Amino acid sequence: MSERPDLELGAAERAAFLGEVLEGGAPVAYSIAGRDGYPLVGLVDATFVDGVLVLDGEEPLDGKDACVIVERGATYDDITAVIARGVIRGRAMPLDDLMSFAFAKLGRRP
Amino acid sequence: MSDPAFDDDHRAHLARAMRSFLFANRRDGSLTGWPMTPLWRDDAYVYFNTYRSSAKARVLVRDARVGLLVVHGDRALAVTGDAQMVDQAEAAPMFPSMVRTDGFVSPDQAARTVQRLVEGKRCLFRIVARSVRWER
Repeated sequence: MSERPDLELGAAERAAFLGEVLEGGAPVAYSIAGRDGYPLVGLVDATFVDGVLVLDGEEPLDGKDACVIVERGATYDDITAVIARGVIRGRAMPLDDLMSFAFAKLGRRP
Repeated sequence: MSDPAFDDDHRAHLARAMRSFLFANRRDGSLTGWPMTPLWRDDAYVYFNTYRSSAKARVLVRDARVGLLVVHGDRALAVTGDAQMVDQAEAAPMFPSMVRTDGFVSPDQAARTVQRLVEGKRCLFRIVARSVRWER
């Protein structure tokens, strides 16, 4: 999966993917650290505006170390995902620590 | 078998869901995550399989604490718990009863996964739930 560089999306592909999936807003999976060390998980509405992933949830996420997954796919062969990690600033998720993979890109699972 | 962590609604949801997102702690304390196909065999655990040599497996062996979001339709179930690697000898016989036969995974893919579980290239994890709640 993420450790296989041949499945990585390029920057332009990632941006296109995020723009397409999040056009008009869509729920994405996120996690922040829980007090007991167990990851807390949830869904948050997100958009992709001017190259920035913007989270619009009720939970106050500013300053939280988080991981967000934007995924699309209907079958096991067909999944594309971008995984963003880092500290949320305001409602913006940093896009400088990214993983991505696209099973569909190769037409097969890894 | 039954588990007080999962009520009947949870179990029905887990039986139908094909999308989930697994989150875990990296060595430096930051979070990472992966989209996963949840596997459910109507016992006390949610399962998933991955390559034994994957970053994911290494992360979970080092720190078992996980959060899992299982999505189906407009509902999402949030689970926190501990990931335990299933013994290799136990894993391969279990897998066929969990594999999805409704189009998400082809029979060829399922057969290949079983073979790789037998060979030990893939491994099976179970999540022992500590808390369960509806996120949506």
